[in-house]
Amino acid sequence: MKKIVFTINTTILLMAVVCINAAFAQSAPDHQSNYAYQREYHGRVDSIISSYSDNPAWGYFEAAARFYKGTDIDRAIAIMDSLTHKQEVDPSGDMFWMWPVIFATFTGQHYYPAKLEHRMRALWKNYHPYRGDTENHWLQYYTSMYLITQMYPDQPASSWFNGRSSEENHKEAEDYINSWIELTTKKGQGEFDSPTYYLVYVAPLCNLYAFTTDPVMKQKSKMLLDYFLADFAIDNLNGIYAGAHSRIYPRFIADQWNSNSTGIAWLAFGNTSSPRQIEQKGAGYIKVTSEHDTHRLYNDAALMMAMSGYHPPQIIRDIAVDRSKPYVSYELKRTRHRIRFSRIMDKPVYKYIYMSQDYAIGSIQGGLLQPIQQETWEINWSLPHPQHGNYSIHTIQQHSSGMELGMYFPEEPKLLTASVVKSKGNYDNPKKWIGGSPYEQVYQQKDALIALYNVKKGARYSTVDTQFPKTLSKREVDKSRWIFAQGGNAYIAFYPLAKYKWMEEETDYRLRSTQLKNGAVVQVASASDYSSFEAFKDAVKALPLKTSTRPVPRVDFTSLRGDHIVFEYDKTPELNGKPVDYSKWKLFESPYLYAEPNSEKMLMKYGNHRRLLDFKKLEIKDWTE
Amino acid sequence: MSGVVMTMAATAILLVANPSQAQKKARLYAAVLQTNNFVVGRSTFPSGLFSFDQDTTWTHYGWSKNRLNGISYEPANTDYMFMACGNGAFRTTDGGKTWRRTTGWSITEVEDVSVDPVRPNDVYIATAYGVWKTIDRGVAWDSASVGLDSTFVQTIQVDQRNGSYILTGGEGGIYRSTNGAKSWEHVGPAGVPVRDIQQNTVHPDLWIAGTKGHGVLISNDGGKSWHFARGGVKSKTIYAVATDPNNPDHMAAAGYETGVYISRNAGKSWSRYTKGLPTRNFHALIFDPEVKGKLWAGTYNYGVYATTNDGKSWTYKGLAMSQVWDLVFVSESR
Repeated sequence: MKKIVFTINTTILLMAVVCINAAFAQSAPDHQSNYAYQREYHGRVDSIISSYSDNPAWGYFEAAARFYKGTDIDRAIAIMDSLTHKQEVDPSGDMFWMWPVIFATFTGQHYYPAKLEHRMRALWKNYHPYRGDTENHWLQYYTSMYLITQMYPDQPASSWFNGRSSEENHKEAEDYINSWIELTTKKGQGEFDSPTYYLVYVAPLCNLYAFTTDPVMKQKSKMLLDYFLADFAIDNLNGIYAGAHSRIYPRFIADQWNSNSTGIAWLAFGNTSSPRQIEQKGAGYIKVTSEHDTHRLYNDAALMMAMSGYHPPQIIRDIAVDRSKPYVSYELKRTRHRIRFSRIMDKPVYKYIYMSQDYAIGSIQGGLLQPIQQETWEINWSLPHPQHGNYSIHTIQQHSSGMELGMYFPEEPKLLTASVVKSKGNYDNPKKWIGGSPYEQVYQQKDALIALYNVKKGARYSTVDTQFPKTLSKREVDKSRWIFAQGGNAYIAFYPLAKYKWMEEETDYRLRSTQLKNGAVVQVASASDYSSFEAFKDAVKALPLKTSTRPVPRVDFTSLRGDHIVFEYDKTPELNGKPVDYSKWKLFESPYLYAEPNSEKMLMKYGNHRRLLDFKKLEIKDWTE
Repeated sequence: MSGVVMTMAATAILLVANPSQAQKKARLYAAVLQTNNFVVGRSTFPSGLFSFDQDTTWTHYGWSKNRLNGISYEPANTDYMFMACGNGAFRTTDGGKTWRRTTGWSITEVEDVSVDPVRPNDVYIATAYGVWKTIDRGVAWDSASVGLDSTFVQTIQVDQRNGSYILTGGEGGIYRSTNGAKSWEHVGPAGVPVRDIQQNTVHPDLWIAGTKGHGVLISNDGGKSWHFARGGVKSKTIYAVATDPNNPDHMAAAGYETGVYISRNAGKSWSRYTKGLPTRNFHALIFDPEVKGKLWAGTYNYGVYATTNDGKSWTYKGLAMSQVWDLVFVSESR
C-alpha cells in the first residue's frame, strides 16, 4: 500500500486555507449560541466514537473507531484481519462492502502490517463488486473507487477487478460524482427524503470529505453534506424525517425513531435521543439478527460524520429544530431514471410539507414516482420524547405490477414482481403499507390535503387503506362521516369519499375501502388553536365540502385556513379559483431554504443569518443581514 | 432474452459461413446468474461466463456476478469476446481469463452485444438507454440511437453478410439500420415489443423475432417486412428464438410460461413441449451446430436442458438453480 501522508486534521487545515475567502471570511453568526451548539455537537461526537471503540462487535466501524482514537490497535487489526479474510474466502456486499472497508482502510492506513495490507489491496483485484442499479448504489461505488484509486495511483489495469487502470477508474469516478452533483443541484435528488436510504448518501459523502486529498473534491463533498443536511432539516420534526418519502421500509413507519436517518438527526441537530438511548427504552426495538446488526447500521453514517471532521453549520441545526412558527416548504425532486413505459426519463416530483411544532403533513403529487417503497403523503405528530411505535397516518392504494418495476429496472416485467418480492417481501402483499399507485392523485394546501383514487377495474388490488395507529389518543367516527383523531397535540380530521370498514390489527386500525372510485379529505390543526377537541370537530363539520366519486372522484372543499380547493381526478387542482401552476415550483422554497431549478445553488436563511452554497463557483458564503 | 438468441444465431451463422471454422470443435458458453434469489450485496455462487465441459459440468471464467446478459465474439479470433453486462460492456482478449470493462459510467444496463463478423473492430451494444457503437474494439463508444422512438432496446444483430446492416429490437419494436447504426428506421408491426431477433444461418434473408405478447415474427426479405407466425405460439411472450444451422425450417421459441415451442416448417406451425422440463420459463435457446437437431435450452432458475428428439424428452445439463441468460457456441480456434 502506498503510504499517503494524510490525516483528517491535515485535511481540515487544508480546507481552512481553501475556504479562507468563503466561510471563515464572512460575518460570524451568533457566537454564543454557536459555541454552545459546537460544544454539544462535539460531546455527541465523542459519545458516538466511544460507543464504537468500546463495542466488542467485530465490524469495520468498530475497527475504524479504535484506529481513530489510537486505542486497542491490536484488536482493530485483528478485526480487519478477520473481516478481510472472510471477504477473501466468501466475498459479498458489492457496494455495501465498499464504503465501510474504505472507511476502515483509510482510518487505519498507518497501522496495517504488510501481509494484511497486501490482502486488503488484493480484494480490489479479486472481488468484483457490482455497481448496482440505483442512485445510492452508484454513489457508494464511485466514491469508493475514487478514494481507493487515490490511495493506489498509477497502478495498471491488471491490478483492478474491472480491468481499468487507477487513472481510468479515478477519472471515471470523478466524472460520475460531478455529473451526479450537477443533476442533483439542478433537478433534485432521485431517491429523495428517504429515512431508509439517507444513510447511504451521507456515509459515502463523509468518506469523500474525510479522505480526498483534492481540495476541490473536498469542497464539493462539504457542500453536498450541507445540502443533504439542509434537505433533511427542513422536513425534520423532532428527529423524524416527516412527510412524503421516495423510499421507506415498513419497519421505519412502524417504529419511526428507529429510522436510519434519526442517528444523523441526533448527531447533527441534537433534537432527538441517541439510538442507544432509544434502544434502552426497551420493547419494540428492531431485532438484531445478524452480525451486521441494526444498532450499528443505525449509527454508521453518524459515526462517519463524527469522525470525518465535518462540522454541521449552526444555521442548518437551527432550521432543523426551530418549530416556533409554522411554515410551508416546497421541494422539487425527480423520479429515478425511467427506462421505458414513459416519455419522460426524470419526471418532476412536486413535494410539499406543512410544518408546525405539533405536527407535519407532507405529500407528493401521486402516481408511480418511485418503485416499490413510495409513501405519497403522511401526517406526523410530535412527541415530547422519542418513543417506539408509529406516530403517523397515511393512505395507500395497494398497487403492484411488473410494468411499474419495468419502468425502472431492465429485467422482464413478467418476471420482475416475483424477483423483487425476494428482497422486498411486501411489494405484492394486498395489505402492504408502502408503494405508489398510478391511480392516486394528491393535492395539498397548508394543512389540508385531498387524495383521490380512481382504480382501474381489474387492477391487481383495488383496495385503498388508511393507517390509523393505536398510538392515537382519540379516534372517533362522527355521524357527519368525518373521522376525528388526536395524535399528540395534533387534531386530525379525515373524510372518506367512499364506504369503508375498520380492521383492527396488532398496532393499527386499518380503514379499508374496496371502492374503485375513492378518496379522502384531510385537515389537521394544532390543539392549541381550539378550546377543545369538540370545538375542532365543530369547526371542521362547518366547513363547506362537496364530494362525488362519479364519473371520477371530485372534491370541492374550503379548509380551516379559508383556502377554497377544487380537485377533480385527472384535472389540475384549483386553489381559490386559480389552477395550480406547477411550472413555478422551486427546487427549494420556504422561509429557510431557497433554490431555483437549474441554479446549482442553495440559499439558507435563519433569522438574519444567511449561507449560500454555490456549486458552480464551489463557494460557501456566510453572512448576516 | 433477445440478445441471447441473437448472439446464438450469429454464432451459428458464422460456423456455417466459414468453412475453415466449421471443421473446428464448437464450445458452448453460457451467461449465468448462479442463483434463483439474486439480491444486490448478497453472497452468491460464481456467476457470469461458463463453458460446458461434459454431462452436467461447466467451467467458470473470469469474475463473478457481472449480471451477464449476452455474449458475442470475433469469429477470426475467438479469444476476443464481448459480454453485455448490467455494469457495461466487457471484453476479453485471452479467451475469458481476464476481462476489462470497456464502458464508463455513462453506459449501463447493457442487454445485448453483437460483433460485426466482417469488421470485428465494430461492435454494437443494445442497452436500456439506446444503442452504442465502437469502431475500435471498445476503446471508445458512441451513441447510435438516431431514429429509435424508444431507446429501451434489448437485442441487436449485425447481418452476417453486410456489417452496415443491423437489426435491433426493444420496447418500440424492430428497427433496422442500413448505414452502420448512423440511423434507424422502424420496421414491422407497430406496438409490438421485441425481445430477441435472429438471422437464419442458411437463408440469410430469413429473420425471426420473439415478441412480448405477440408470439413470433418472421421476415423473409431481410427484415424489411414482418408477419406473425401462426399456430400455438401466437400471443405468447417469447424471450428466445433459435434456428437450426443444419435445417433452416427448424426453429424454436420459448419465453414466459411457454415451455418450448418447436417448428419444423419455418414457423408455419408449432408444437409445444413441457414434459420433462422443470419450468416453463426460458431465456435462452440454441441449436447445436455439431449434433443435428439437438436443442439446448437455458431456463429461468433451473439451469440448462437439452433435447435430441425435438422436445419429446429432455436431459438435464447442469447449472442447477441458475438463471441462464444466453447460450452461445464458439468455434475453438485457440
